[in-house]
Parts: sequence; C-alpha cells; structure tokens
Amino acid sequence: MTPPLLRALDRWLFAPVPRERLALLRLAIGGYAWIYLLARARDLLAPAQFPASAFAPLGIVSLLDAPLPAAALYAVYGLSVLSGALFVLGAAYRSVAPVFALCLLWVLSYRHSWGMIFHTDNLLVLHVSLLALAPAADAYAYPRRAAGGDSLHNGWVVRALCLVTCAAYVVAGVAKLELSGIRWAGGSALREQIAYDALRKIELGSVHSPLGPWLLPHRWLFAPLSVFSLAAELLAPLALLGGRWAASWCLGAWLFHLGVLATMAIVFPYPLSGVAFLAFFPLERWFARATRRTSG
Amino acid sequence: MTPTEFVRRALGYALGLGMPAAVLSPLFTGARDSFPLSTYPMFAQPRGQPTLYSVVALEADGREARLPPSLIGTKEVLQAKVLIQHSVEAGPEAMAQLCADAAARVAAAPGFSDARSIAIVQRRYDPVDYFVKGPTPLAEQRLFECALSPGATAPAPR
Repeated sequence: MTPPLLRALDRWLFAPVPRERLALLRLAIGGYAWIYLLARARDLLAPAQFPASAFAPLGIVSLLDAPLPAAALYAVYGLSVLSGALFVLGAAYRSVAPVFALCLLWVLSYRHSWGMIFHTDNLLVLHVSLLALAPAADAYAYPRRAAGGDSLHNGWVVRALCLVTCAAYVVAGVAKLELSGIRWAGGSALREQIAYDALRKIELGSVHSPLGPWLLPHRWLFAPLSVFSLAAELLAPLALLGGRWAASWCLGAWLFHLGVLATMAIVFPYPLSGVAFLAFFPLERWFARATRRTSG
Repeated sequence: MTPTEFVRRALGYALGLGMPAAVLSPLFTGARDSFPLSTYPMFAQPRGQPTLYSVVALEADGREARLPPSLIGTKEVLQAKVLIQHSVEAGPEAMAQLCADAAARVAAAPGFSDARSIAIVQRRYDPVDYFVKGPTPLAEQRLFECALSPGATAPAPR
C-alpha cells in the first residue's frame, strides 16, 4: 500500500512528457553547451600556460595532484567538442551523451581549478548531465531512428532540470542570508558589492560598468533592488507550479541577471540566453506552432 | 510493475531527486565552494574595507597607470587578481617574478613609453566612499618595485 503523499510525488515526478520536448531540450541545451565550448576555446585552453603553482584542483579535478600536460588538456577539449556535436545530433546517444557530459564537466572544472571559481557554468553542467542520462534522442535525431520505449516515464528528467535550477537559486539566496543576515535585504550589502566590484576592476586595469558607480550615491535604490534579488532567488520553487508562476519567476530571474550585467558587467550567459529556463515550458507546443506558421 | 519499469522508476527517483538534493547539499553539509556544487558566495559576503592589490606602471613624474590583466599575464580580471594575490602571499621571490614578467610585457606593449618602473601596490579602501566621496585609499603600501627592461622579450601569457 503506497502512502498518498508518495503516490502524489510519483505522479508529479513521472508526469508524462512528450519525447519531442526532451529532444528539443537536448538540441537547445546541448547546442548552447557546444557553442559555448567553441566560443570560449582560448579561455578554456589557457590553463595549458598557467604556472603549476596556481593549480588549485576542485570537484572532479581533485583526482589530480598536478596539472595535466598541455596535450592531455587539448585532447579532452577536442573530445568534448566532438562528443558535443554528436550529442546535439543525437547520434549514438546512449554511449556518446555520458561522454560529452563527463568531458564538459572535466573541461569546465579544470578551468575553474586555478584559484578562482566562476559561478556562471554550474547550471549548464548539471543540465547537460541530466539530459545525458535520459533518452533525449528519441526525436529530432540524426541519423533518424525508431523511438525506443515509452516516453511517458521520462518526465522525471524535465522535473529534475527544473528542480536543479530552482535549487541553485535557493542556495544562492540562502547564502546571502547566512553570510550577511536579513541585513542583506536592506540594500547596503548590495551597494557595497557593486562598489567593490567596480573598484577591483579599476585597480586591475579592467573595464567596469559605468551604471553601477553612477547609482551608488542614490542609496534609497538599493533596498528595493536587494529585495528583488533575494525574491528572485528564494522564491524560485514557485516556478515548479508551472504556467504563469513559472513564466513570472523565469522573467524575474532573467531580469536579475540583466541587472547584474548592467551594474557589475558580470555576464551569466546561460540564464541570460534564456536556455537555462526552457525546461519550465512546453517547448514541443511552441515548436509545433512555429512550424505551422512557417509552413503557411 | 515489470523489472524494467522498476529500474526506470528507481533511476528516475535517484537522479530526479538526488541531483537537486546534491545541489542543495552545501546548505546542510557546510561544504566549501566547489564546482559544479557551489555555495554561491559571490554576492553574499560583506565586503567591508577590502585590501586590493594591483600592478602599476610608474612614470618619471610619479604618475601611475594600472596594468590591465593582459600585461599581468592573463585575459581575465579575476584570474589577474588571483595571480597578484598569490604572488604577494608567496613573498618577495614570487613578487619579483611577477614584477619582472609584467615589466617585460610593458616594455613590449604600446602606450607605456613613459613608464620607468613597475610596482606591486597594496591599498585598502571603503568601496562606496571611493565613488561617492573620492578615490582616496584608507591605506597604501608599495610592496615591490622593479625597473623596466627595454628590449626585453615578453613572456608568454599565463
């Protein structure tokens, strides 16, 4: 006899999801990851020339005691680009997708293992990992193949993509409350953060956003901005209700990242591109509508 | 439920709930910031009056120009910050190396023809006051200085 709560969880987690939605998520998220790998090639391969003394391995790279030889870094990067292309196409998906997920995790972790963690890549890696373990190439794949199994039990993947997204934002929100307390919502911490970010960039001879320093004398602005930022993070679970809740939260989170870009010139490309939020929406219906429109 | 369906469901539960739980886990385990599981501390920490390090080119008349990350040996501003901080923490030998590398790059770079030496500088600021009241540091110290070496070959970027 299953308790009602567990039955409800089971229904929610395994709610039917058309295989086309999973495939579109594969195309969008995998495509984004692949382009991202190519666009950041120079930066991702830069550790080949970093001094070994700056090596500070983290995550999966903690398996290493010393930096990889440059040739190994280039080889893993090359494999990630190749497997990424196959991931997007959906070719040999069951064997290639986990390879791509692992390579992406390795390449990005390795780049972050030089004393500075950039928090812009976390969601991308988690999303690709989830898709890699799911039958996301049962539609829109090349070469085309017969759809395997029944797609009705794959809803957990989409749920997990949404849950992981919400969890990451909640952790970021709770971190602010843990480290600064509810004072964070008062505005002074955000004002200080924006000033600090611009100042360190000036000290390091880099470019900073002119908007952030321009706003600093207007102290009153920062309390509402802080409340909005905290709400965008802590209220993320509301998006799990779907529909307008999801759309409203995604818009709020996107605006939050836009604000970070405008005031601190810090780019979170994955959420800003919108791809990070696609799992909350019925992509297959959008796609069908768009296809109908273009075909007349 | 068939054995295949049971396995699928088990996998769904393990990954569908396990992965989000892993993302949330730093809240409960007190784990350090890592990748891809993070504590997301970036905008959360109070900044107070931070001490910042920079590498500057000094001209004969005493004026100074901040060196951009590319002349410190990296493309990224955060990586430049780490490189300078590591060198300062490692002591005079590491600072001498950083200074010499930067000096060689500056000697080969356009726009620094008036530069006479390179210095690693430490300054403490109130970041908000810097922009609202004026850019005067609360404290300032020149940690290391080295002469420019005209004609030197610029070292490879790090």
